[in-house]
Amino acid sequence: MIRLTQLMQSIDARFTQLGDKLEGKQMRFYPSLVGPLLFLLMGIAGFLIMPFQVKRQEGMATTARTFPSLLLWVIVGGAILLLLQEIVKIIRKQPIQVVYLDLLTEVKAIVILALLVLYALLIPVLGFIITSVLFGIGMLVFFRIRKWNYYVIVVFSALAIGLLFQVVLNVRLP
Amino acid sequence: MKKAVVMVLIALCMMGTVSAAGQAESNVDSWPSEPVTVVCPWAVGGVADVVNRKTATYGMEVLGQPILATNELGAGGNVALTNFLNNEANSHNLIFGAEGAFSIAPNVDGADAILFTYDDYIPIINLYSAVFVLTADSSLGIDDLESLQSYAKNNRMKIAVNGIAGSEAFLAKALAKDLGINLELVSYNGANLALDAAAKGETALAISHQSQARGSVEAGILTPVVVFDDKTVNNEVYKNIKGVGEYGYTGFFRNRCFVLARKGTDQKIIDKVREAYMEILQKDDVVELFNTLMIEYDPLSLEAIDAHIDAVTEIVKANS
Amino acid sequence: MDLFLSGLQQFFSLSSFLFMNVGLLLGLVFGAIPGLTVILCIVLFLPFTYTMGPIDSFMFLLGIYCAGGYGGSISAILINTPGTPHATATMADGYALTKQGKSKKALNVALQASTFGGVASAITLLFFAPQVAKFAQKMGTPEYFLVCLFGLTVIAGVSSNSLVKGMISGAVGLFISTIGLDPMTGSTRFIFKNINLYSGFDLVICLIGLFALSEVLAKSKKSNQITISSLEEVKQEKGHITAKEYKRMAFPAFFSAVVGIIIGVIPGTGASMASFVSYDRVRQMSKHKDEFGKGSIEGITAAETANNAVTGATLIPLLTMGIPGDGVAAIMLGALMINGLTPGPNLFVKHGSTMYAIMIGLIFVNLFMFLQGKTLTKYFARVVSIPVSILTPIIVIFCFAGAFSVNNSLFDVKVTLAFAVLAYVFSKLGFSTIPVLLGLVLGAITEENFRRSLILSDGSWSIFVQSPISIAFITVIALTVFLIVFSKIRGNNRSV
Repeated sequence: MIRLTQLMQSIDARFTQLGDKLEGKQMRFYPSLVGPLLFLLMGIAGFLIMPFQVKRQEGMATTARTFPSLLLWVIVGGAILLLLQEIVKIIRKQPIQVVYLDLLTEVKAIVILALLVLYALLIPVLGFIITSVLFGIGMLVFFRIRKWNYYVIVVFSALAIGLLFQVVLNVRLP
Repeated sequence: MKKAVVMVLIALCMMGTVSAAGQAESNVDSWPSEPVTVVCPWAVGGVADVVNRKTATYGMEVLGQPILATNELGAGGNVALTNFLNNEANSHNLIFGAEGAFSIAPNVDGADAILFTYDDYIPIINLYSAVFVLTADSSLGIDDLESLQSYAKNNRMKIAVNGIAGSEAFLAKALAKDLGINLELVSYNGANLALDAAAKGETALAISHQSQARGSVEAGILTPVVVFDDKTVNNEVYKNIKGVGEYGYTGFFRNRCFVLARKGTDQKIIDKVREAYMEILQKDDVVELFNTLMIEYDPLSLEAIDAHIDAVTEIVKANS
Repeated sequence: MDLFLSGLQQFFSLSSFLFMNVGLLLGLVFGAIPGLTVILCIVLFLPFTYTMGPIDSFMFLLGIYCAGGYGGSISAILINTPGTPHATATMADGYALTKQGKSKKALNVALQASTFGGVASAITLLFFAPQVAKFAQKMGTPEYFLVCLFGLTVIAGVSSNSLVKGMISGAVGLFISTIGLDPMTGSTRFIFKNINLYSGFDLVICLIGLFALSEVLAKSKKSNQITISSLEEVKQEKGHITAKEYKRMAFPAFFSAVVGIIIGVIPGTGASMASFVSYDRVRQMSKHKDEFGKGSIEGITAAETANNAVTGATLIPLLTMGIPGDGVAAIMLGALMINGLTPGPNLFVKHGSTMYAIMIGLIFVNLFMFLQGKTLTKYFARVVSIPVSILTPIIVIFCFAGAFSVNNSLFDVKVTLAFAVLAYVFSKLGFSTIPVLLGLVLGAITEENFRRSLILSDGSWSIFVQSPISIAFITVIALTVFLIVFSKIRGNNRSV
């Protein structure tokens, strides 16, 4: 028990260290350039996979491809328009939008996402209720909660939700 | 110490295998040893779902175990049928299926995503069958195949169907071919909207289940033309409507819903479930429900069920 | 009149009131908890109605349906996560009020607006169903398309910072809605041979990812981890609405009730479209345009009135023609059929008193919704004092359980995660996700009705101008687009 607490504390200290390291570190980010570029690529990718994913049809006023193609054009066209606006700004030496991304925040978002993915992947292995309990604990650790009553509440809620669905609502949770 | 642990583990494993083998033996005779789950792969509130829930209430009485009716949706039932393959033979899970999954899905676009075939299942019983009906916009004066044929000679006709690759669509195509007329299919999202289209005059014709067209037929907005069966239908709503088969055509089928088990399930279990359902289907309130929903109980032999799937497949292939 | 009285008599029974209130409570809870949706609630509890009579089962289902319409706004207001798709329009203003410590006021406005919309709709159903049904019968495929097109103009309204960005977001949503089987030709689109993509994505599944789980990801930011108010602060706020505020709510309420009723009559559209359209129109017409998105009472009123005004109107095509306008109505159709009530023009002739009982019941459903909401508001409001670290995991667990239960599918759980990532990336790039949701809501019906129109007309575009209703819609759309472009140009001139 004591060793466990020690282990927890050392892990906790590691997190603090890591957090301190990342704290205040920022990444320069140009959403007004990256966004349109990303959508441009998405649109082009859409056009590229279209022949493999949607059959060609003939002799009709509109086909299965009409709508998706139209929408891809809107995406690509919009993206190009936004890019041009930015390029004009750069040429005119006007300032473009800069966002400073908090590195710590982004790393944390990835951690939450990892927890969510892990949760989804472990459900078929461990079953819904056990995975939910583990996830609840994981989230509390992530929030760096030390109060034991928080853990009790979350674990209890996870159990209650699982049982509610399974027993009361007759859902066949995995 | 380590040795002892290994020994215990081996012993446990052996006991596990022995008991598992023993279970497999007794499985068949003691089946069902736990509640039986019957999956309806279609929407909650639909005909199949209602029948499933209703029949499930008799599980304890006829099987000695409760029947749990559930739904698993997606891809017109094909997701549930795919997931059902995870069951082993003699499992306590059963599933509904119909010609849509086995005769139509493998022969239309998207077939490459279908990972199951009819042979992965064993039919236990056909729970119910429903006869499709062709209805026409009343203002057109079409009330049988002759008048349809002569009308179609002088007019371009459109027919509203529920989905372009559904049972109704293939019945429409087969009929057009048999009559030598031109029917242009218009796909609607659901039989109710298809019927409404014909009622509004957007299309001349619609195909649906009898129960779905009932309201409009009773109100005189739609006129029944023909039923897709081998004999005449005569009930309080559809009075003496001739079957396509009586005109000598073969391009018709009923919508049949089957209860299926996983391939390899013991014949004893199949028989047990089949008998249980046959008993349930005789119950007064089940009979009444079938009347309300305008569906029929017409038990088929297992060979006849196979033949039904083959026959529908032929029609679909001929009209794809 | 006889039918009315006998209907009244049939309705007034203890069991009607009992089932109505059970339904209302369930709808409220399922609507309010992110991840649990109205449709899920109905799906889970429908089997219970199979043994009830028609009136009891309808009271139960209508209770869930109506309370769900209000319930979704509770979580939208309190924790910036819409419980139902149509509460998304309420979210911006509702949550803004919560941040100002006025969550009870926001909840009260939403409740009163919902009740008003619901009652207006129920009265329309009771007294004007035949007339409305006649109007509805005049609308066909081309008119449906034009209504959807009008709905799409809302995208311009909800993309505040940049019209082009809004259009891209909307196009992404519309594009995602094309995944699956093409409704008109049956050919597959972007399914990558995966059977789970065959019928596309369920709207509620997308909603959970786009708004609930993405909000969880946003908890990575420190400022989002702070609990909004303490329990004391919540208890102190009275949430009283002043006479002046009522005056400002009046026009949005009446206007949105009409919009909700019209949209409710049209199959396939539903509450989400109604709330967004009303919100957008009311904002355009408001004298306090700047307040919208920052805690506007008018905005909440518009969105909430409209989405409950849909409830009674949806029953009109359902009962008179057997056409279910949305998923819930489709399930109600089943409930009618089981009880031997065949929807259609003859339903009122054959089962007049039962129908009147149901229609009268709907008014009472709304009144009881108000009472239940009123009683429960003060407890709901306490949610904002629950520590974020406790609330977040619980919401995720609900979301996962809810996403799984809709179709009994683990694949759907993964879909929600994908949508959460999408929403997160969008927010980082400065793109709003609301147009994506609008695209998802409108995508399938817009495309379907457009292409079906052209099939019906053998390819001729003249089908879109053939009826007076179509021409009226086209005029409204043209006017709207003109206004958007005009205000855009004026805005640009001002900024330069």
